[in-house]
Amino acid sequence: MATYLASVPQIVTHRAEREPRGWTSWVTTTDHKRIGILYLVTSFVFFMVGGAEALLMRSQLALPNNTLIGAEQYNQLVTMHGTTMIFLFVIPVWAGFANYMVPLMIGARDMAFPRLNALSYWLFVAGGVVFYSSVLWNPPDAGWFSYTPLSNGTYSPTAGQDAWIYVIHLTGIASAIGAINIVVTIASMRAPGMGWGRLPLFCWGVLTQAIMLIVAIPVIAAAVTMLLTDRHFHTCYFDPRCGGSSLLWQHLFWFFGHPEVYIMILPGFGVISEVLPVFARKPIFGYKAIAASTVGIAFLSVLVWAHHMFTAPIPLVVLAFFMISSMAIAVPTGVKVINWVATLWRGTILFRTPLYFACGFLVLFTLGGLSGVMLAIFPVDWQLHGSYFVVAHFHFVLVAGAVSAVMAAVYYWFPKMTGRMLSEPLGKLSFWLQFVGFLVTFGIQHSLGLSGMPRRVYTYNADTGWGTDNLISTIGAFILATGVLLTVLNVMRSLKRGVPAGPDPWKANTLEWLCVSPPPAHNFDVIPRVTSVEPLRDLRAQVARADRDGDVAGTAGALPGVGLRVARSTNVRGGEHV
Amino acid sequence: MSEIAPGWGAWSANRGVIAALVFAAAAYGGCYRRAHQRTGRFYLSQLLAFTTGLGLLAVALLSPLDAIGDDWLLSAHMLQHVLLADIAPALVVLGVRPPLLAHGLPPALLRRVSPRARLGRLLRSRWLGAVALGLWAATQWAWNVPVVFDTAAANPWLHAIEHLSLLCSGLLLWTVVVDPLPGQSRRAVWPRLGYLGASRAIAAVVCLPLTWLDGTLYSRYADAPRGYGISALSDQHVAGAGMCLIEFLVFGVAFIVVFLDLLGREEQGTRVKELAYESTRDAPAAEPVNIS
Repeated sequence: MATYLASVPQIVTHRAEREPRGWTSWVTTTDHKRIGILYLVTSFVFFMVGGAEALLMRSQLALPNNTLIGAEQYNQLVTMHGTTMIFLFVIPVWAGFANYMVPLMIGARDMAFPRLNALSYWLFVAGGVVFYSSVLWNPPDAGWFSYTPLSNGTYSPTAGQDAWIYVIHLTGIASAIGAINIVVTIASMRAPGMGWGRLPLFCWGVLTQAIMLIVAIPVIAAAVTMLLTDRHFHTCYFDPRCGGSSLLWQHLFWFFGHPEVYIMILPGFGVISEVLPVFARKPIFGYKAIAASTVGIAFLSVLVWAHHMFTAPIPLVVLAFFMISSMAIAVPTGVKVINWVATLWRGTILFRTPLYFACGFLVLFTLGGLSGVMLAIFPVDWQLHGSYFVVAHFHFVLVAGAVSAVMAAVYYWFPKMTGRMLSEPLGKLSFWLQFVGFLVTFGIQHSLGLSGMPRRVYTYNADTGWGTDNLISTIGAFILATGVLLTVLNVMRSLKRGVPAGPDPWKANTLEWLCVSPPPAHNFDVIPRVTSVEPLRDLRAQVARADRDGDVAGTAGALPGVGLRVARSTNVRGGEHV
Repeated sequence: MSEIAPGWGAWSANRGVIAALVFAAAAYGGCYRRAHQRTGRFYLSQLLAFTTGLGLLAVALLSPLDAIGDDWLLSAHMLQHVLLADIAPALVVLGVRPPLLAHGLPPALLRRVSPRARLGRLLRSRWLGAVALGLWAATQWAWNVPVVFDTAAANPWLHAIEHLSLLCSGLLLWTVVVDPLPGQSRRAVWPRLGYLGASRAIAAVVCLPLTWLDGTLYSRYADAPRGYGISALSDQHVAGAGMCLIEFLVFGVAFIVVFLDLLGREEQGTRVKELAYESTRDAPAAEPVNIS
């Protein structure tokens, strides 16, 4: 009697593909991790440039009647700074993190459309190049929102304004393509067992942001196309002299512009929701509430655009509508903040740099939210519109909100991306410089606004009494910039000399920490089966239990689908840096 | 039409409306009593939702809102329509959400709405959502065409038909969204969210123009006496902005509730699959194939 086993198909490799090397491998890459790094590096370059522009503006305003920069150059700097930070830094930096992390967090091997992913990045680069090439002739100077008629052919005849239109077009297409890719990836490529109720909160943030981009981008794309045809083909969409309406531009721009604020913030909320439970050593408080408030914020954000236009001729009841809907956003945002605080409450707190930035975010973003509620009251807005109070408010939301979250993400995921730890002392020093510098820069601007200083002025007289506050604000800006530079230095130093991180230096909860650091091209040898919202924590617990019981088979089967080698590797036990 | 604007005391005693409300309350009372007797549980949230829904129907049809909306203020009339088509139906349907109907319906009726019965199949049909949405769009758009709106407001019978059609379309739409029928095979969440979103987009076609237009649309109200110190245009803006605010906030709340339901159901479904997986994993491995 002979016993045969069923045959196993064999795959024979005749030739091993050589791994591409050098700069061409980066230019031609479709690997989500490399594209993510390209996004991150490029957007940080733009961040540095935008920051330098901000420092130039602050230097001009440090003293009354200063002559460092002329009025025209100041307007150009305002426009370049705002456009750079929003379209060339914050949105693409989140695209970078999303590209790198989302497939790893959901247990996928790549994005759904890798080539579209590469196209998206190169369109973003093209947008940045087109925009910054305008400095060679005449940079745009109509502000980052390019209100008409200031931005039409009569008042902005130079090609710089066209460069602004093209950067919106190109980065808009890039964002839309990237957003579709993210939605498809998350919807269809999640690991076995990862239902919607187990999706990491960063992925919820990115998914919601992607859907908002798909809704909002066509509106601004249409608006800038109309502006382009007004400028060059004599159409009359925004020109009241021939039947157009300049108010229409404001409606279209802000219908995109306010969701844009949340497009910049929601992935940051996701980062905070990932960082806090890891460093509080307890599960996130209210997973479902945080996920639901993310989509709630996204929904409300498309109902509030006219709060940017409270001083425009709009019926009073409509102002009341937008006041109420704007205030309503505080509800889901408050739900998030309370859940984050509850996550920290009675946790075993590990004071590491990512947590510093996450806590800084909590404090500063909440303050920014409070001034936002003040500005949502339209009679208050009538007094403060166009003043430095508004500048202070949106920098509290965007710098404290988005940039603090970006910093938290950098310090949290750098070990995964590079296999090396960032320096903790340098990181903490960078945090404190940024935190104090930020408060000094923008806290005092509330006072300037209440004292009546209008925004977008290139100078002021000494008798206004704004000199001291402006000087303090400028000193703060340089402290803030020093903090950011320290992080850049930390990154460059740690790339070569950082302590090896191992696969899971934080004892984190999500799947990206299962693979080695940096992850291989295919991400996972075996796609793990997910059993909760914290799959790695589950795996660690099961391996520890099996180790205690001396159960080799139990260790191997700790997560169905993960083999003995993976389960027993250090990434599951992890923790040499914590 | 009276020359004096109606005040707080202008409640009407429309017998037909009162009879319908009493009948609905009695039917619900019977259903609730049976459910309580069978399970021993109190379904307080359902009871609260249903009674609030009926109360809002009474406010819409019997309170001064009806009289003010008929002849004086467009905003009052639009608020009445929002109550009839959206808020009250939502609450009424939430009042019968699971497991109330499963325990409270008389056995004969329960058999009729079971998945195998004709009515049950009809109510669970995948086309019901599209039908509900189509009906919602038809009633929302058709009744708000200015000529139709003014004609209906002037003709009591047509007005009653208008209100009835708004109520029925709202009940059908919210039945699809809330999915209150008993049984295991409930509707998928994503289509329900889709219907909800589409219904708000349809309603926005009505409320946004009213909010933003610079001229009045409804001659009945443009020519009405200004009994409440509000101009016709401001009245129209209040009508539009009020409708938008209420409908969008309803959507926001409903969206969050359905979304949380989605997460809960996903988790439940995944756990069931995992239990099944565990049981197959723990089963003894198959013997090698013996082909001798």
